[in-house]
Amino acid sequence: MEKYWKIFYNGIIPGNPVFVLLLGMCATLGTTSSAMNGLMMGVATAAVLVCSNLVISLIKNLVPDKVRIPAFIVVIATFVTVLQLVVNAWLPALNASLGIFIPLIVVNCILLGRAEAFASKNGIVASLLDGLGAGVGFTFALVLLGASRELLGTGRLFGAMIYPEDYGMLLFVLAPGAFIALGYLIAIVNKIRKVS
Amino acid sequence: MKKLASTLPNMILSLGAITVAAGALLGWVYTVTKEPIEQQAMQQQVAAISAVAPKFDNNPETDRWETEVNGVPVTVYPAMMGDRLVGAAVKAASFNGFAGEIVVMCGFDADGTVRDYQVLSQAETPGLGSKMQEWFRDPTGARSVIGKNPGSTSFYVSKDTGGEIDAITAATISSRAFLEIMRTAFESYRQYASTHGLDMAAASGSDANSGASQQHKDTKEVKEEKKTEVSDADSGASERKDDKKHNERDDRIYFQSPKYKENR
Repeated sequence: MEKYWKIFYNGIIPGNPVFVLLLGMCATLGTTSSAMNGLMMGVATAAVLVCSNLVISLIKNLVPDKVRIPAFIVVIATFVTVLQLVVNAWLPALNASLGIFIPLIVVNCILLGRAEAFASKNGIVASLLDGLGAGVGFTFALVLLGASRELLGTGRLFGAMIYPEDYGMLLFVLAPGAFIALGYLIAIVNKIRKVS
Repeated sequence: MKKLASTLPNMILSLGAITVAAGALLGWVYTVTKEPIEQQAMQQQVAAISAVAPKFDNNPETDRWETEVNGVPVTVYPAMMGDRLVGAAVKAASFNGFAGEIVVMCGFDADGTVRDYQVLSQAETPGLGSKMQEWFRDPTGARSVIGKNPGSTSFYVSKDTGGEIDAITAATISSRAFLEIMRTAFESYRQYASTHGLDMAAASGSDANSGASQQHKDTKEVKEEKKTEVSDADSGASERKDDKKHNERDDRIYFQSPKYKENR
């Protein structure tokens, strides 16, 4: 039991995809202009991550080593396309706010990284938990980054006004603010990890 | 089970099986989601049309008329009452904004007066150009385009010669693109009415008037084109150099300058 908890927890703080591994930066910086967008992107990525980890750990013995990368990419791309079609059909609002970043989940390094480093070597339950952990960690990081950018940039949090927009620093909603906020968050997380 | 060895037949079989399975799954999901996706797109379209166009009793979707202005596709959705033209919703786009394509659904009354508009998609700077959905309906000053007729009012930003619409503060490029879309939409609507032998109800009274302003506009159109060429060659900097008039406000400034705050 403890072993499984460790696998799950590893993705959240010790091996957080964004703050520690620095993977999937494109989606991280691009979609986190608000906390809500960060949350949606995190959940979408986590869903694909769990599914792909599960399937890859199931088929790992059927895939010869030399073709494992193309095989994993096909699996990941399939789930992303399924997700995109489903979002298009039933969640048009999500589609409008994430747009191009949904298909770009395919090239998010976290997915292939977890498939290659974990799911292709471990059992189904462990892979499922690993995917879930990394997904939750990614979502957590994106929400944190999105929330700080939204708060500093527009004075809102999840769309609710905290202070008047006039005092916000618009820079934080734009691309440069994403880098600045991410840098400070990484520093804070590093500090916390060292202390604990 | 032991892992399959990397022999050629194994690799082909394995990868082949995975892709076939993936293809089958995708095919199934595609057929399941096809109808809802089409319905969503249709609903958004119809919602946008009925939000901007006058009341109609035809089906603007099936009566639509497609044309092309300067390489950009424009769709006119006529609003009819019986067989009388009461107005139209026109979907037009422009790539001359600050970032990417801007698509706007413009609603016109029969005589071409702007009824309403809806920005369907844009990627302008958040907080500046992205305000176009609210800005051009704000009755403050000369911001609003609603109730104005592009045939008699000059749909250019007020810092351009003769322009009669106030640009979004610190987002003149986005504003120019927006007004360009409005003009394109109006022209297409007028074209539609004339090619289909339909009467733009109130146009008869102001025919001479609109003809004159049309000429006036054409010369300006040429000027605008020249300006675009310059700014295309070298984005912001050269445009500012070329056009001293625009120096007073920096279009591309991202931060909140004191001027920006003051204007709010």
